[in-house]
Amino acid sequence: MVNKVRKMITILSAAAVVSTIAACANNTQTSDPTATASAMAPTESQSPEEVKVDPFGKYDPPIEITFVGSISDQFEKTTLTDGVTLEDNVWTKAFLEELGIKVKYKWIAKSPEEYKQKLNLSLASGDIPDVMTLDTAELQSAIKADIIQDVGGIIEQYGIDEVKQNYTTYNFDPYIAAKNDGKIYAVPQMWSVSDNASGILWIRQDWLEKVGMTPPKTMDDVYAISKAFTHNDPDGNNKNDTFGLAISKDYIQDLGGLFYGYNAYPGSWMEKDGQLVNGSILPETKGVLENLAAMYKDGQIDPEFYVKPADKIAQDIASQKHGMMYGFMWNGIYPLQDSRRDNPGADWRPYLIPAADGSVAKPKADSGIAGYYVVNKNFKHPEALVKMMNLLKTLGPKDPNKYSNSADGKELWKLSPVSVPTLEENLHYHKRMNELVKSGETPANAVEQSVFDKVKQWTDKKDETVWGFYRMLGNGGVGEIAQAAIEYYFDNDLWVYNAYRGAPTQTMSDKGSTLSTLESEAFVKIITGQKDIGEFDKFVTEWKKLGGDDITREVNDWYANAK
Amino acid sequence: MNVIKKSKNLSLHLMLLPAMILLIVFSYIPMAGIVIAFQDFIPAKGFLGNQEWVGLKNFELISTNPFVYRVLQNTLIIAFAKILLGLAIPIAFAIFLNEIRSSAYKRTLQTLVYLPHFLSWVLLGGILIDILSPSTGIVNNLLKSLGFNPIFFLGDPKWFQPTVIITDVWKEFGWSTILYLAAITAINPSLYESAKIDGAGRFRQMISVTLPGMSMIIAMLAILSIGNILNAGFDQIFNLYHAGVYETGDIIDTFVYRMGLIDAKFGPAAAVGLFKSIVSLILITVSYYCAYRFADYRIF
Amino acid sequence: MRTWTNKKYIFPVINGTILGILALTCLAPLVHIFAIAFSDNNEVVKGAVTLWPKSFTLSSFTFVLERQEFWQAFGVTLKRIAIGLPLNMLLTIITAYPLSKESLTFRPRTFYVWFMFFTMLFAGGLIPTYMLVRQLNMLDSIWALVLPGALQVYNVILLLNFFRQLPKEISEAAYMDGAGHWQTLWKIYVPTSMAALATLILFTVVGHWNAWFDGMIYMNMPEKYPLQTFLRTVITMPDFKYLKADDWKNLQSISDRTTRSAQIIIASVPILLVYPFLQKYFVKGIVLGSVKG
Repeated sequence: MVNKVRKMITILSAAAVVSTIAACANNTQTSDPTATASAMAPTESQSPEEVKVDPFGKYDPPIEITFVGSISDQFEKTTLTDGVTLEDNVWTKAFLEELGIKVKYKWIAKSPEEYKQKLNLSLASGDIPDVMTLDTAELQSAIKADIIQDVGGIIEQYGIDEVKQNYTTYNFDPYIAAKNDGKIYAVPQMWSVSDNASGILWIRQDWLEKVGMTPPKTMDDVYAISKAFTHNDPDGNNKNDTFGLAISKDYIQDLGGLFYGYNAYPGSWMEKDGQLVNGSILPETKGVLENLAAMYKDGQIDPEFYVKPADKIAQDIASQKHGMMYGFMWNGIYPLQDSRRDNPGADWRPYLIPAADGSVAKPKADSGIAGYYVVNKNFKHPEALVKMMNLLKTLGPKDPNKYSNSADGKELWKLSPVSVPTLEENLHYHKRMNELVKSGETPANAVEQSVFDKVKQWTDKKDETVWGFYRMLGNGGVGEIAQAAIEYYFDNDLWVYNAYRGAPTQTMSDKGSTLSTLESEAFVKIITGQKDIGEFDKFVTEWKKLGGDDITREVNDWYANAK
Repeated sequence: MNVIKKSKNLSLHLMLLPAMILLIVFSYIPMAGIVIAFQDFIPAKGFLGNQEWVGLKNFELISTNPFVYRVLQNTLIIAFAKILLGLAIPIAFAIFLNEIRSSAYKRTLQTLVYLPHFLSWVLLGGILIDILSPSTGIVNNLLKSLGFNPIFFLGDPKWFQPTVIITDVWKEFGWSTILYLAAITAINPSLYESAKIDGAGRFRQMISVTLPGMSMIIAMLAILSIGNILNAGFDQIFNLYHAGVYETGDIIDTFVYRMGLIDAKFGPAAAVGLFKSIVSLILITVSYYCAYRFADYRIF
Repeated sequence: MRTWTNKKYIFPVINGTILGILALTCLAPLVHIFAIAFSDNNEVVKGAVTLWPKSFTLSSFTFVLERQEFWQAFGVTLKRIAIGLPLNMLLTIITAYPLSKESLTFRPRTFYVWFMFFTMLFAGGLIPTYMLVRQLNMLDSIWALVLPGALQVYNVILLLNFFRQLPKEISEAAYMDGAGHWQTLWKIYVPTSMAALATLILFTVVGHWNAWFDGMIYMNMPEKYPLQTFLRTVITMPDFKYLKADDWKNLQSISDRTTRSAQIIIASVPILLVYPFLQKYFVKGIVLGSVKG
């Protein structure tokens, strides 16, 4: 369900870019040429005065950068119309006019799977574009193959403050997986850590009232609600057709919050007694699986959950089958909004996730890195990537309708091969909404105004179309607004990070996918009762034997060095 | 005379020249690619790059991968079932079709059953996904109206295997009847006459005249199909499967595809591919030899 | 005797009915898709459409036919047939002819035949082939769809077997008249092998029409995709495991059943219109090519 976060980003990206208008005006002078001692050397073709100093320096004559791209059929139908292509659109024109950068594509894939396959063929034949985005495993193989260059320090050197700030927002080193032999081989594409964190427990208030219960404070409360939602006919149709807890076949993701309630973090590396251990094989995880098996047996979980992808569960939610789900702060927009289409009484509320001991659980934060921009070894202008980022951060706000999302549904921001999100911007707007409502001030700028208007549309006019938007970041507290819970986690420093942030180890890349398949199949068998809980210990033994022990050793070697 | 013959043979060589060039370029040169099965192949270094030789490490890696056995099992089950039904159903269909007197009706039936053969798995995949959908598909609508629970044919691992087997047989059975019908046509009519005189009824004739008359072609096709025991049908499965049904639907070819092109594990992928090629090579050689020995069949 | 007369009437009826139903199962799915393609989406969503369109509309077809991408892909497929078909046929004919000679008159035949046959048994695999095609600068060009498969070994075997059925006397007579191999091939073999050649033309056209994998691998830009590769991105279910960068609007597009169906229909119709007319040829061609008398 991680994927859906981009939808939210789309919705907000109009907001995302505008906030930098004011900053950009005096920005050109702020970069300090001596700020970083990087390996970046000026290339011969550039005149000395434009090198290093000017974050918007125009190339003359223009240079060409090749990328690789991905489009969907939908995107083709909505945005790539009237002669607009990935190589010829408002963004490529802007890059060319403002920066002297001509954007070209080596290839364009039509589905995520095709993208993966074309990327691997590209890597296999050594025929890579000038700039592309890789995941950690691909990055590792590209470093090994010596086809990409050291880009250490280019953000600090060429980036405007709005771009640079993304790399210092969180207190971890974003470059850690890109380092090798003292060099830095990639520019991470930063992402909000809370956007993809399963930190919210969504519950239907109307169902709670119907069965005479209150929002949960402990895990036992959660189980009691699940039981009541299953057996006490919360939708009042006299049919036994509801479930306690909504989960899809990506249940580990969907149920993150349930696991966190027990300090269980399957799939993540956690420190225990100075050593890193994998959360999947710990007794805490076993305990949660046992509870899930009991819920499954009692009919509280869709018996076919393990074959249903997230969108099928979304349909079930829309048809009033579910009243409780663990999830993300943007779930109000999708899929919960859909459940109000046929039944506006479906009153979903976002809560903090309870822990077994009655306190608030510690949710796992997302890695904060969506991918790694790498630059071909033979490409002479790596700083051009940063200049494009600078332009994205400044130009968009001037005319969001032209550069971000048009009124008629064109996703214009996708026409740029590079993107720079504003981190934790949803939280920012939530806080501003609370301030604005409290103080009675007027919004400070156009974007704030549009967010405020939308929130008002719900609070004053009860306009159904913005219900999900309001639940995500409107004004209000925990139990009203999802971002209020996110704020609580930040304020109380509750986020838990994956303790391993390095590149995939050798055994991970050899056997990682085998181990995760092993895990998901064992867990499904336990939850569905095909195997009893003893299967868990068998899985742990198998997991260790098939490479888990080796990975644990490698990860701890890394940890010893990283400390 | 000798000169003439030589020059005449020269033109035969000339005719073969383009084919030989194409074979060398597009078939034999890529065969050199199997070396990556013995390398720690780092894709970006390219083929002629300085790759590290690792001996049989890729094969060891594969043999410790627990899913390889599942994939092998799925391949064998699906391929075997397709071979078996792919023989039996067309044979039965040909025999019964032969009993139809009206030649116009017979030809219409034939035309209809050839139809799916001409559609690609891309199109049939789209059609099957539509008609087999558990929520909106016409097949499940029918099941629901008869009071059954809808079946997630392409989504439930339990149902995936039977579904691919049956749909593949359905696609090809008509086409496969061509050879059997030809064999039936070649049966000497006097055999039926004498069977009738001996008092054999219709079924008796089918069993004691028609079937034996086809035995040669049946034996031959059965032998030749042995070579396909590791081919469970990439085109079909690739267009129908998804991660939820790997358990029963993943076959060698799709596994190799994903390992190589999606996970970029080129060395191990090439190792599995090589394994498959060698086993197939042996099976095909043996089966063609058998066909030659026992059915006096030469493919060329 | 009594059962025999019974069966005389009952059996043909039952037999004809059962086979008829079986044959209809081959047609019904396509008819259903046909009905959906011509129906209003609201009727389709309700599940009301079975084998006949409800609230007849051409809107799905006009939508598809107005899409530039569809026509581009259609054009690529036509182009690959226009180039691929003559090339395939020419190569098949001139390769099958020498190989149809007996080893006694053409000694190297055995070597050639095995050299060719071996490529059916053993292949280098996708990655090396891809790299070769890239090295030859054929990525993104029509030649990547035409050249690697220009020699269809299976078709050559079919045709060479067919050639061997031809009475030896004709070619010997021509030979005596001083005709060379080229003349014999074009003047005698080709005209007498029309059934086999028609079969091979059908196979080749269908093969090119239905090919999708090479388009997906070798074409860098979606506008170069042949029809089936394009359709694959439109009509098959996306695997959620790989859905990363895209938002969920994609899911609405795959639920667009009427347009999906319209594209399936448009892509199947040309083949379905042609094959019944070639039926008598391909039946004969296949039989003579694969079974030796």
